Amino acid sequence: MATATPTPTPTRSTPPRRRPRPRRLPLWRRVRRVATVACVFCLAVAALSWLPAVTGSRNLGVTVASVEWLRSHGGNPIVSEIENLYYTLNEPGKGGPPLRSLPRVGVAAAGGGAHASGAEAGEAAAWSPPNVDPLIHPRLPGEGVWQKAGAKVGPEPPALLTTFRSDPEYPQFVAGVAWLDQARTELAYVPGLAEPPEPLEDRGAGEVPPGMRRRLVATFNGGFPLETSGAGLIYRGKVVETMVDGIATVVGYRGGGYDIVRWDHGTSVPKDVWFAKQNLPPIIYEGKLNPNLSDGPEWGETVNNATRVWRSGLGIDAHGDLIYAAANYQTVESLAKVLQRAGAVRAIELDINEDWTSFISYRHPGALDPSNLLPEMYRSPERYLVPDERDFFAVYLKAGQPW
Amino acid sequence: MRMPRNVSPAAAERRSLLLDALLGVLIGILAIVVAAGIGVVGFFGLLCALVLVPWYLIEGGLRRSRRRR
Repeated sequence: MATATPTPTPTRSTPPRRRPRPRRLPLWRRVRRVATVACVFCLAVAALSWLPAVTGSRNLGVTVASVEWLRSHGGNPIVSEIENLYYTLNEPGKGGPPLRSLPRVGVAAAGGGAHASGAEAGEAAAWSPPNVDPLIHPRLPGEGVWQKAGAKVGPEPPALLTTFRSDPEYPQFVAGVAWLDQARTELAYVPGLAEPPEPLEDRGAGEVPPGMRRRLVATFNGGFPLETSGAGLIYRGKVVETMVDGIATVVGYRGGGYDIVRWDHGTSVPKDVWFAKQNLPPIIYEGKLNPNLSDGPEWGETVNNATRVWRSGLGIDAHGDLIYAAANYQTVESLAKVLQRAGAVRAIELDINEDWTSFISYRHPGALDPSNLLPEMYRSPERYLVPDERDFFAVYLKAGQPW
Repeated sequence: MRMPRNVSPAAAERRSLLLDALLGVLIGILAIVVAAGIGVVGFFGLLCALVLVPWYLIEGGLRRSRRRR
Protein backbone atom coordinates (compact mmCIF):
# COMPACT_ATOMS: atom_id res chain seq x y z
CA MET A 1 0.00 0.00 0.00
CA ALA A 2 1.33 3.07 -1.02
CA THR A 3 1.02 5.95 1.21
CA ALA A 4 0.99 9.37 -0.17
CA THR A 5 3.49 11.55 1.33
CA PRO A 6 2.03 14.90 2.14
CA THR A 7 3.34 17.52 -0.11
CA PRO A 8 4.99 20.10 1.91
CA THR A 9 3.20 23.36 1.81
CA PRO A 10 5.50 26.03 0.64
CA THR A 11 6.40 28.26 3.53
CA ARG A 12 6.28 31.93 2.88
CA SER A 13 9.09 33.81 4.54
CA THR A 14 7.52 36.65 6.54
CA PRO A 15 9.49 39.83 6.48
CA PRO A 16 10.82 40.78 9.93
CA ARG A 17 8.46 43.01 11.83
CA ARG A 18 9.76 46.55 11.67
CA ARG A 19 9.41 48.78 14.66
CA PRO A 20 7.99 52.12 13.76
CA ARG A 21 10.73 54.67 13.46
CA PRO A 22 10.89 56.84 16.57
CA ARG A 23 9.73 60.34 16.02
CA ARG A 24 12.89 62.44 16.14
CA LEU A 25 12.87 65.71 18.00
CA PRO A 26 13.86 68.70 15.92
CA LEU A 27 17.41 69.80 16.61
CA TRP A 28 16.39 73.15 18.11
CA ARG A 29 14.24 71.36 20.70
CA ARG A 30 17.15 69.18 21.73
CA VAL A 31 19.43 72.22 21.97
CA ARG A 32 16.83 73.92 24.13
CA ARG A 33 16.57 70.84 26.30
CA VAL A 34 20.33 70.70 26.81
CA ALA A 35 20.35 74.41 27.64
CA THR A 36 17.54 73.90 30.15
CA VAL A 37 19.39 71.10 31.93
CA ALA A 38 22.61 73.14 32.01
CA CYS A 39 20.70 76.14 33.30
CA VAL A 40 18.91 74.20 36.05
CA PHE A 41 22.18 72.54 37.08
CA CYS A 42 24.00 75.88 37.31
CA LEU A 43 21.15 77.51 39.21
CA ALA A 44 20.97 74.61 41.66
CA VAL A 45 24.70 74.80 42.40
CA ALA A 46 24.55 78.61 42.70
CA ALA A 47 21.56 78.35 45.03
CA LEU A 48 23.61 76.23 47.43
CA SER A 49 25.91 79.22 47.87
CA TRP A 50 23.29 82.00 47.57
CA LEU A 51 20.73 80.70 50.05
CA PRO A 52 22.97 80.72 53.14
CA ALA A 53 24.28 84.17 52.14
CA VAL A 54 20.78 85.61 51.93
CA THR A 55 19.26 83.91 54.94
CA GLY A 56 22.37 84.50 57.06
CA SER A 57 22.61 88.28 56.55
CA ARG A 58 21.20 89.98 59.63
CA ASN A 59 20.08 93.41 58.57
CA LEU A 60 20.04 93.38 54.78
CA GLY A 61 17.08 92.88 52.46
CA VAL A 62 17.10 89.94 50.05
CA THR A 63 17.90 92.19 47.08
CA VAL A 64 20.88 93.92 48.69
CA ALA A 65 22.14 90.64 50.16
CA SER A 66 21.88 89.03 46.70
CA VAL A 67 23.82 91.86 45.08
CA GLU A 68 26.48 91.55 47.77
CA TRP A 69 26.63 87.82 47.20
CA LEU A 70 27.03 88.35 43.44
CA ARG A 71 29.73 90.96 44.06
CA SER A 72 31.72 88.67 46.32
CA HIS A 73 31.40 85.63 44.05
CA GLY A 74 33.07 86.94 40.92
CA GLY A 75 30.26 89.21 39.75
CA ASN A 76 31.71 92.57 40.78
CA PRO A 77 32.23 93.79 37.18
CA ILE A 78 28.64 92.80 36.33
CA VAL A 79 27.23 94.68 39.33
CA SER A 80 29.33 97.75 38.55
CA GLU A 81 28.22 97.76 34.90
CA ILE A 82 24.55 97.48 35.88
CA GLU A 83 24.93 100.18 38.54
CA ASN A 84 26.63 102.52 36.09
CA LEU A 85 23.91 101.93 33.51
CA TYR A 86 21.15 102.46 36.10
CA TYR A 87 22.64 105.67 37.45
CA THR A 88 23.34 107.01 33.97
CA LEU A 89 19.73 106.40 32.93
CA ASN A 90 18.48 108.04 36.13
CA GLU A 91 20.85 110.97 36.06
CA PRO A 92 19.32 114.04 37.70
CA GLY A 93 18.70 117.17 35.67
CA LYS A 94 20.40 120.45 36.45
CA GLY A 95 18.51 123.34 37.99
CA GLY A 96 14.96 122.91 39.24
CA PRO A 97 12.94 124.96 41.70
CA PRO A 98 15.00 126.36 44.55
CA LEU A 99 14.71 124.88 48.02
CA ARG A 100 12.94 126.95 50.67
CA SER A 101 14.30 125.11 53.69
CA LEU A 102 16.85 122.50 54.67
CA PRO A 103 16.38 119.39 56.79
CA ARG A 104 16.97 120.14 60.46
CA VAL A 105 19.82 118.20 61.97
CA GLY A 106 21.14 117.43 65.43
CA VAL A 107 19.32 118.73 68.47
CA ALA A 108 17.80 121.44 66.27
CA ALA A 109 15.65 118.70 64.82
CA ALA A 110 14.50 117.94 68.35
CA GLY A 111 13.88 121.58 69.23
CA GLY A 112 17.37 122.64 70.41
CA GLY A 113 19.36 125.68 69.37
CA ALA A 114 22.35 126.41 67.21
CA HIS A 115 25.85 126.05 68.55
CA ALA A 116 27.82 129.28 68.73
CA SER A 117 30.77 128.58 66.50
CA GLY A 118 34.24 129.52 67.64
CA ALA A 119 34.29 132.47 65.31
CA GLU A 120 30.96 133.74 66.62
CA ALA A 121 31.49 132.90 70.27
CA GLY A 122 34.75 134.80 70.31
CA GLU A 123 35.66 134.09 73.89
CA ALA A 124 35.07 130.33 73.72
CA ALA A 125 37.90 128.47 75.39
CA ALA A 126 37.81 125.40 73.13
CA TRP A 127 38.14 125.67 69.41
CA SER A 128 35.07 124.92 67.35
CA PRO A 129 34.78 125.27 63.61
CA PRO A 130 33.44 128.38 61.92
CA ASN A 131 30.08 127.98 60.22
CA VAL A 132 30.34 126.77 56.66
CA ASP A 133 30.07 129.46 54.03
CA PRO A 134 27.38 128.09 51.71
CA LEU A 135 28.06 127.45 48.05
CA ILE A 136 24.75 129.02 47.03
CA HIS A 137 23.53 132.48 48.01
CA PRO A 138 21.32 133.75 49.47
CA ARG A 139 21.81 131.36 52.35
CA LEU A 140 18.77 129.41 53.56
CA PRO A 141 17.85 129.52 57.25
CA GLY A 142 20.36 127.44 59.19
CA GLU A 143 22.43 126.61 56.13
CA GLY A 144 26.00 125.80 57.13
CA VAL A 145 25.28 126.61 60.78
CA TRP A 146 26.64 123.99 63.15
CA GLN A 147 24.16 122.33 65.48
CA LYS A 148 24.98 120.21 68.50
CA ALA A 149 24.52 116.52 67.84
CA GLY A 150 23.93 115.62 71.48
CA ALA A 151 21.32 117.01 73.80
CA LYS A 152 22.44 118.53 77.09
CA VAL A 153 26.07 118.62 76.04
CA GLY A 154 28.20 121.33 77.61
CA PRO A 155 29.82 124.31 75.89
CA GLU A 156 32.31 122.01 74.14
CA PRO A 157 30.17 119.60 72.16
CA PRO A 158 32.11 116.61 70.82
CA ALA A 159 30.05 116.49 67.60
CA LEU A 160 28.42 119.17 65.48
CA LEU A 161 26.18 118.74 62.47
CA THR A 162 25.06 120.92 59.62
CA THR A 163 23.61 120.84 56.13
CA PHE A 164 24.18 122.95 53.06
CA ARG A 165 23.39 122.80 49.37
CA SER A 166 26.25 120.96 47.76
CA ASP A 167 26.37 122.11 44.15
CA PRO A 168 25.34 125.44 42.55
CA GLU A 169 24.35 123.61 39.35
CA TYR A 170 22.04 121.30 41.30
CA PRO A 171 20.44 123.59 43.88
CA GLN A 172 18.16 120.86 45.24
CA PHE A 173 20.91 118.59 46.54
CA VAL A 174 21.73 118.86 50.21
CA ALA A 175 24.90 117.58 51.87
CA GLY A 176 25.00 116.53 55.49
CA VAL A 177 28.23 117.29 57.30
CA ALA A 178 29.46 116.34 60.75
CA TRP A 179 32.40 117.68 62.74
CA LEU A 180 34.01 115.57 65.46
CA ASP A 181 36.32 117.07 68.04
CA GLN A 182 39.67 115.26 68.14
CA ALA A 183 40.38 116.66 71.61
CA ARG A 184 37.29 114.99 73.09
CA THR A 185 36.76 111.91 70.99
CA GLU A 186 38.49 108.74 69.89
CA LEU A 187 37.85 106.73 66.76
CA ALA A 188 37.41 102.96 66.55
CA TYR A 189 37.30 100.69 63.52
CA VAL A 190 34.64 98.01 63.95
CA PRO A 191 34.68 95.00 61.58
CA GLY A 192 31.36 93.85 60.18
CA LEU A 193 30.14 90.28 60.05
CA ALA A 194 31.15 89.83 56.40
CA GLU A 195 33.57 92.68 55.77
CA PRO A 196 36.51 92.37 55.94
CA PRO A 197 36.02 88.84 54.58
CA GLU A 198 39.38 87.51 55.74
CA PRO A 199 39.57 85.41 58.90
CA LEU A 200 39.97 87.92 61.69
CA GLU A 201 41.01 87.62 65.31
CA ASP A 202 38.63 89.49 67.61
CA ARG A 203 36.13 90.23 64.86
CA GLY A 204 33.49 91.05 67.43
CA ALA A 205 29.76 90.95 66.81
CA GLY A 206 29.64 93.48 63.96
CA GLU A 207 28.03 96.10 66.22
CA VAL A 208 29.06 98.72 68.74
CA PRO A 209 30.14 96.71 71.79
CA PRO A 210 27.52 97.15 74.54
CA GLY A 211 30.24 98.09 77.01
CA MET A 212 31.25 101.09 74.86
CA ARG A 213 27.78 102.49 74.21
CA ARG A 214 27.84 104.73 77.27
CA ARG A 215 30.47 106.86 75.50
CA LEU A 216 29.13 106.55 71.96
CA VAL A 217 28.88 109.85 70.10
CA ALA A 218 28.46 108.79 66.46
CA THR A 219 28.89 105.95 64.02
CA PHE A 220 29.45 106.07 60.29
CA ASN A 221 30.09 103.81 57.31
CA GLY A 222 33.51 102.48 56.33
CA GLY A 223 35.12 102.35 52.92
CA PHE A 224 34.69 100.03 49.96
CA PRO A 225 34.93 96.29 50.59
CA LEU A 226 38.53 95.13 50.40
CA GLU A 227 37.84 93.03 47.32
CA THR A 228 36.57 96.09 45.45
CA SER A 229 39.06 98.66 46.64
CA GLY A 230 42.18 96.53 46.29
CA ALA A 231 43.48 98.47 49.28
CA GLY A 232 44.88 97.47 52.65
CA LEU A 233 43.71 97.07 56.21
CA ILE A 234 45.46 96.94 59.57
CA TYR A 235 43.35 95.85 62.52
CA ARG A 236 44.57 95.75 66.11
CA GLY A 237 48.13 96.33 64.91
CA LYS A 238 48.12 93.38 62.51
CA VAL A 239 47.97 93.37 58.73
CA VAL A 240 44.69 91.92 57.47
CA GLU A 241 45.21 93.00 53.87
CA THR A 242 48.50 94.28 52.49
CA MET A 243 48.79 98.05 52.68
CA VAL A 244 49.37 100.02 49.50
CA ASP A 245 51.51 103.15 49.30
CA GLY A 246 49.87 106.33 48.00
CA ILE A 247 46.38 105.32 49.09
CA ALA A 248 44.28 107.48 51.42
CA THR A 249 44.18 105.90 54.86
CA VAL A 250 42.18 106.49 58.02
CA VAL A 251 44.66 105.76 60.79
CA GLY A 252 43.87 105.17 64.44
CA TYR A 253 46.85 105.33 66.79
CA ARG A 254 47.41 103.31 69.93
CA GLY A 255 47.20 106.45 72.02
CA GLY A 256 43.65 107.09 70.79
CA GLY A 257 44.47 109.77 68.22
CA TYR A 258 43.51 109.53 64.58
CA ASP A 259 44.46 111.01 61.26
CA ILE A 260 43.91 110.75 57.53
CA VAL A 261 47.15 110.25 55.64
CA ARG A 262 48.52 109.20 52.29
CA TRP A 263 50.09 105.88 53.24
CA ASP A 264 53.86 105.73 52.75
CA HIS A 265 54.98 102.96 55.14
CA GLY A 266 54.93 100.21 52.54
CA THR A 267 53.66 96.88 53.79
CA SER A 268 55.03 97.28 57.31
CA VAL A 269 53.00 98.29 60.36
CA PRO A 270 54.33 101.28 62.29
CA LYS A 271 54.41 100.51 66.03
CA ASP A 272 51.94 103.22 66.98
CA VAL A 273 49.26 102.23 64.45
CA TRP A 274 46.29 100.39 65.96
CA PHE A 275 44.14 100.34 62.84
CA ALA A 276 44.45 101.65 59.29
CA LYS A 277 41.73 101.44 56.68
CA GLN A 278 42.59 102.36 53.11
CA ASN A 279 40.28 103.43 50.30
CA LEU A 280 41.29 104.89 46.94
CA PRO A 281 43.70 107.82 46.49
CA PRO A 282 43.16 110.92 48.68
CA ILE A 283 40.45 113.18 47.28
CA ILE A 284 41.92 116.18 49.12
CA TYR A 285 45.56 116.44 50.08
CA GLU A 286 47.45 119.36 51.59
CA GLY A 287 44.29 121.44 51.24
CA LYS A 288 44.00 120.85 47.49
CA LEU A 289 41.60 118.74 45.51
CA ASN A 290 43.17 115.71 43.86
CA PRO A 291 43.83 116.88 40.26
CA ASN A 292 42.72 113.47 38.92
CA LEU A 293 39.21 113.48 40.40
CA SER A 294 37.69 113.31 36.93
CA ASP A 295 39.82 110.35 35.79
CA GLY A 296 38.42 106.85 35.92
CA PRO A 297 40.72 103.90 36.52
CA GLU A 298 42.44 104.94 39.72
CA TRP A 299 39.10 105.20 41.51
CA GLY A 300 38.60 101.48 41.58
CA GLU A 301 36.45 98.87 39.96
CA THR A 302 33.14 100.24 41.06
CA VAL A 303 30.59 102.86 40.12
CA ASN A 304 32.20 105.44 37.87
CA ASN A 305 33.62 108.44 39.72
CA ALA A 306 31.56 110.84 37.60
CA THR A 307 28.30 109.03 38.28
CA ARG A 308 25.95 110.93 40.57
CA VAL A 309 25.12 108.67 43.45
CA TRP A 310 25.05 108.65 47.25
CA ARG A 311 28.64 109.19 48.35
CA SER A 312 30.37 109.74 51.65
CA GLY A 313 33.78 110.95 52.63
CA LEU A 314 35.89 111.65 55.66
CA GLY A 315 38.26 114.57 56.01
CA ILE A 316 40.44 116.10 58.64
CA ASP A 317 40.69 119.85 59.16
CA ALA A 318 43.70 121.98 60.01
CA HIS A 319 43.04 121.41 63.75
CA GLY A 320 43.04 117.64 63.34
CA ASP A 321 39.29 117.30 63.82
CA LEU A 322 37.28 114.90 61.70
CA ILE A 323 34.78 116.05 59.10
CA TYR A 324 32.33 113.54 57.65
CA ALA A 325 30.18 114.42 54.65
CA ALA A 326 27.51 112.52 52.73
CA ALA A 327 24.95 113.42 50.13
CA ASN A 328 22.95 111.96 47.32
CA TYR A 329 23.74 112.68 43.66
CA GLN A 330 27.44 113.37 44.19
CA THR A 331 30.41 112.78 41.98
CA VAL A 332 33.81 112.21 43.59
CA GLU A 333 34.67 115.78 42.67
CA SER A 334 31.53 117.37 44.14
CA LEU A 335 31.96 115.34 47.35
CA ALA A 336 35.55 116.55 47.63
CA LYS A 337 34.36 120.14 47.20
CA VAL A 338 31.80 119.67 49.98
CA LEU A 339 34.51 118.40 52.32
CA GLN A 340 36.86 121.20 51.33
CA ARG A 341 34.11 123.76 51.92
CA ALA A 342 33.59 122.31 55.38
CA GLY A 343 37.28 122.80 56.15
CA ALA A 344 38.93 119.46 55.29
CA VAL A 345 42.59 119.66 54.32
CA ARG A 346 42.98 115.91 53.74
CA ALA A 347 40.14 113.59 52.82
CA ILE A 348 39.30 110.07 51.79
CA GLU A 349 36.24 108.84 49.93
CA LEU A 350 34.30 106.30 51.97
CA ASP A 351 31.54 103.97 50.85
CA ILE A 352 28.94 104.92 48.26
CA ASN A 353 25.35 104.00 47.34
CA GLU A 354 22.27 104.52 49.47
CA ASP A 355 22.55 101.03 50.93
CA TRP A 356 25.87 101.74 52.64
CA THR A 357 25.95 105.44 53.43
CA SER A 358 25.12 106.06 57.09
CA PHE A 359 26.05 108.64 59.67
CA ILE A 360 24.27 108.24 62.97
CA SER A 361 24.58 110.49 65.99
CA TYR A 362 23.24 109.72 69.45
CA ARG A 363 21.48 112.50 71.31
CA HIS A 364 21.88 110.97 74.76
CA PRO A 365 24.56 108.86 76.47
CA GLY A 366 24.12 105.12 76.19
CA ALA A 367 23.48 105.23 72.41
CA LEU A 368 19.99 106.55 73.11
CA ASP A 369 17.85 108.45 70.61
CA PRO A 370 19.94 107.74 67.50
CA SER A 371 19.26 109.78 64.38
CA ASN A 372 20.53 109.76 60.82
CA LEU A 373 22.45 112.78 59.59
CA LEU A 374 20.06 113.24 56.67
CA PRO A 375 16.43 112.16 56.53
CA GLU A 376 17.04 110.52 53.11
CA MET A 377 19.50 108.05 54.64
CA TYR A 378 17.20 105.08 54.61
CA ARG A 379 19.13 102.63 56.78
CA SER A 380 17.80 102.38 60.31
CA PRO A 381 19.41 104.66 62.91
CA GLU A 382 19.79 101.48 64.96
CA ARG A 383 22.01 100.09 62.21
CA TYR A 384 25.24 99.80 64.14
CA LEU A 385 23.60 98.81 67.39
CA VAL A 386 22.75 95.46 65.82
CA PRO A 387 25.11 93.20 63.86
CA ASP A 388 25.95 94.68 60.46
CA GLU A 389 27.54 93.09 57.43
CA ARG A 390 29.98 95.91 56.67
CA ASP A 391 32.76 97.42 58.73
CA PHE A 392 32.23 100.89 60.17
CA PHE A 393 33.72 103.54 62.43
CA ALA A 394 32.54 104.41 65.91
CA VAL A 395 33.33 107.69 67.62
CA TYR A 396 33.50 107.55 71.41
CA LEU A 397 34.00 110.23 73.99
CA LYS A 398 37.49 109.87 75.45
CA ALA A 399 37.48 108.12 78.80
CA GLY A 400 36.69 110.54 81.61
CA GLN A 401 35.21 113.19 79.31
CA PRO A 402 31.82 114.48 80.42
CA TRP A 403 28.94 114.21 77.94
CA MET B 1 29.51 46.77 24.00
CA ARG B 2 27.18 48.26 21.47
CA MET B 3 23.87 49.74 22.28
CA PRO B 4 20.97 47.98 20.59
CA ARG B 5 19.96 49.86 17.51
CA ASN B 6 16.50 48.52 17.09
CA VAL B 7 14.66 49.88 20.07
CA SER B 8 11.13 51.03 20.75
CA PRO B 9 10.27 54.70 20.19
CA ALA B 10 9.83 55.16 23.93
CA ALA B 11 13.27 53.68 24.62
CA ALA B 12 14.81 55.85 21.91
CA GLU B 13 13.21 58.88 23.46
CA ARG B 14 14.51 57.94 26.92
CA ARG B 15 17.96 57.38 25.45
CA SER B 16 18.08 60.78 23.78
CA LEU B 17 16.76 62.41 26.97
CA LEU B 18 19.57 60.79 28.95
CA LEU B 19 22.17 61.95 26.44
CA ASP B 20 20.83 65.50 26.49
CA ALA B 21 20.75 65.56 30.28
CA LEU B 22 24.34 64.33 30.47
CA LEU B 23 25.42 66.92 27.92
CA GLY B 24 23.59 69.64 29.85
CA VAL B 25 25.26 68.69 33.12
CA LEU B 26 28.65 68.61 31.40
CA ILE B 27 28.09 72.10 30.01
CA GLY B 28 27.04 73.26 33.48
CA ILE B 29 30.19 71.84 35.07
CA LEU B 30 32.30 73.46 32.36
CA ALA B 31 30.59 76.82 33.00
CA ILE B 32 31.25 76.58 36.74
CA VAL B 33 34.89 75.69 36.18
CA VAL B 34 35.51 78.42 33.62
CA ALA B 35 33.51 81.27 35.26
CA ALA B 36 35.10 83.86 37.55
CA GLY B 37 32.86 82.69 40.37
CA ILE B 38 29.64 80.94 41.21
CA GLY B 39 27.91 84.32 41.33
CA VAL B 40 28.56 84.82 37.62
CA VAL B 41 27.21 81.32 36.89
CA GLY B 42 24.09 82.05 38.92
CA PHE B 43 23.59 85.43 37.25
CA PHE B 44 23.79 84.07 33.71
CA GLY B 45 21.81 80.98 34.72
CA LEU B 46 19.08 83.30 35.90
CA LEU B 47 19.18 85.23 32.63
CA CYS B 48 18.83 81.96 30.67
CA ALA B 49 15.97 80.91 32.92
CA LEU B 50 14.27 84.23 32.21
CA VAL B 51 14.34 83.32 28.51
CA LEU B 52 13.60 79.59 28.77
CA VAL B 53 10.73 79.66 31.26
CA PRO B 54 8.54 82.11 29.27
CA TRP B 55 9.43 80.18 26.11
CA TYR B 56 8.12 76.90 27.58
CA LEU B 57 5.08 78.64 29.02
CA ILE B 58 4.15 80.37 25.75
CA GLU B 59 4.67 77.15 23.79
CA GLY B 60 2.53 75.17 26.25
CA GLY B 61 -0.16 77.83 26.11
CA LEU B 62 -0.23 77.81 22.31
CA ARG B 63 -0.43 74.00 22.26
CA ARG B 64 -3.35 73.98 24.67
CA SER B 65 -5.23 76.60 22.70
CA ARG B 66 -4.71 74.59 19.47
CA ARG B 67 -6.08 71.45 21.13
CA ARG B 68 -9.18 73.27 22.28
CA ARG B 69 -9.89 74.31 18.71
